[in-house]
Amino acid sequence: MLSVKRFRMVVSLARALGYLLDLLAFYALAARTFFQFGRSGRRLGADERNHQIFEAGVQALPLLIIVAVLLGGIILGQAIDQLKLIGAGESIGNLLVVIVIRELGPLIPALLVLGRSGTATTLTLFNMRLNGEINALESMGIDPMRFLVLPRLEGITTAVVGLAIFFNLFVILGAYLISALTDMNVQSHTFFNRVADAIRWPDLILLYLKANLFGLIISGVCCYHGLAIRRPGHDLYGMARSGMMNAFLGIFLIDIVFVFIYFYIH
Amino acid sequence: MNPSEPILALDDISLGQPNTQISLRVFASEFVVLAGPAGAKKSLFLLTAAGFREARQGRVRLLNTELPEHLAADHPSIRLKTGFVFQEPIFIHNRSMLENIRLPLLYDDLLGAEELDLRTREVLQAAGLPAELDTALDDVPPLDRRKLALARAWIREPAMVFYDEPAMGLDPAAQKKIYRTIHAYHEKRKHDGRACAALLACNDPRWVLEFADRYLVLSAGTLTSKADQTNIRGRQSALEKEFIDSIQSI
Repeated sequence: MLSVKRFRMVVSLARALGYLLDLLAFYALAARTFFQFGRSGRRLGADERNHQIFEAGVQALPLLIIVAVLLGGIILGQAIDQLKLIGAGESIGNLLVVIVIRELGPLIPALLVLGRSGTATTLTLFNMRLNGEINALESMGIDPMRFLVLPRLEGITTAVVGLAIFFNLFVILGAYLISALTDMNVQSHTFFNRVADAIRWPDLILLYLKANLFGLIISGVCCYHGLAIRRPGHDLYGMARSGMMNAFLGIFLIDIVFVFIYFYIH
Repeated sequence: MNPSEPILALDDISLGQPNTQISLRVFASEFVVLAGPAGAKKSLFLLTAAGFREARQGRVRLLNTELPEHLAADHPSIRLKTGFVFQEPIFIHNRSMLENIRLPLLYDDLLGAEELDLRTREVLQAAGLPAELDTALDDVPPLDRRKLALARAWIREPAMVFYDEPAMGLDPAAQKKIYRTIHAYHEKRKHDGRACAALLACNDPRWVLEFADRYLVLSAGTLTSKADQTNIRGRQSALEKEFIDSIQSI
């Protein structure tokens, strides 16, 4: 006989599966709208997308640069002793490529955008639904998917990719500053040459892909939580919180998939 | 569209009440007033007729398109040619007043900047709003919010506009002003040879009977035609009294 505990587990699993299917349907609808022919909403959507790039990307840049420089310094500062112990000063490049370009480069900007813009996206769209603005848009023949969701998917994804590029550059700069300030005695051209030698094309391609997927996860999940769930009783903050948590989990799930891809490539 | 064909054709639709079926034809340039007591499902009727709700039974044909198999949300062509004014005007919060009015046209992206300005000036004038809208959306008085909703519904030059109690909650003088503004707009469209049909639902037909082409009453899921173009003029007082008596008898 099915125990109560096991029954609850089955119900939870079914709910999670239902949620995933709903989310996939939401992405499929967004993709269909994206590839639909016609100029309706494209210019207005482009304005909104640029606004999202500014809010999620440009406005986050100063904070990201500070974090990147500090993190570069922290990573190298912590690694110096170990590198010196094993006489592996030449491994600076490899160390930065593995830790920063492959892992932290897209991850930290994605988490920053999730914290700054993901929650704001859910709250904005949820409020619009509560206030009847979504119905008002539909009554005017304005597709909320084209007018609200696609610009956020494009804008936030572009912002994550752009921030990831800046983040990598400034982490390397931060690491160089620490190596120059300490007794590692690495010349600037030697340092940058070692980093450049360690970077390979697949690293950059996978960084780009990863940042894009992180952006799509953040924007898609947060838009979905703001718009798609209509069950009564869901409170605003609970909705924003669960959107953020699910996007957070999604980012790390994608990250682990990429670890396997790296293994496969090597 | 052939003028002899109705813009809106409803055949035996039901609003949920048992054994009730509603049929209606609205032709281009007609101004149809639909009165009914509160709770008569006037809003549901309008939403069904405009294609926002699926009819439980029967046929809805709007602008030569069969509903409900394809609700209007999936039919941008219908939305391009119809306007809908809700009881409570709702605007997009992060857009200015002017952007809110122009939003449908900005979305369509079919007009150049000059045409867009011209069309905006026309609807602002028709709605009795100043050409320069510099008030913040939150500070707009209720009467002007109603006028903004009218301007937004008219900006695409629709072939038909659905009005769901467009003056609800306003004082009698303001109500009168709104209804007169609506009437003037439809008269101008007719005069310009670009007739626009109207289906207007209201609780109190006092201010609209003087310019209605047809007067219908929706009560208990049944639609009754009380007067048409041949016999509506000069009978406003009698029709008003009949409506008030019918409400009191409920």
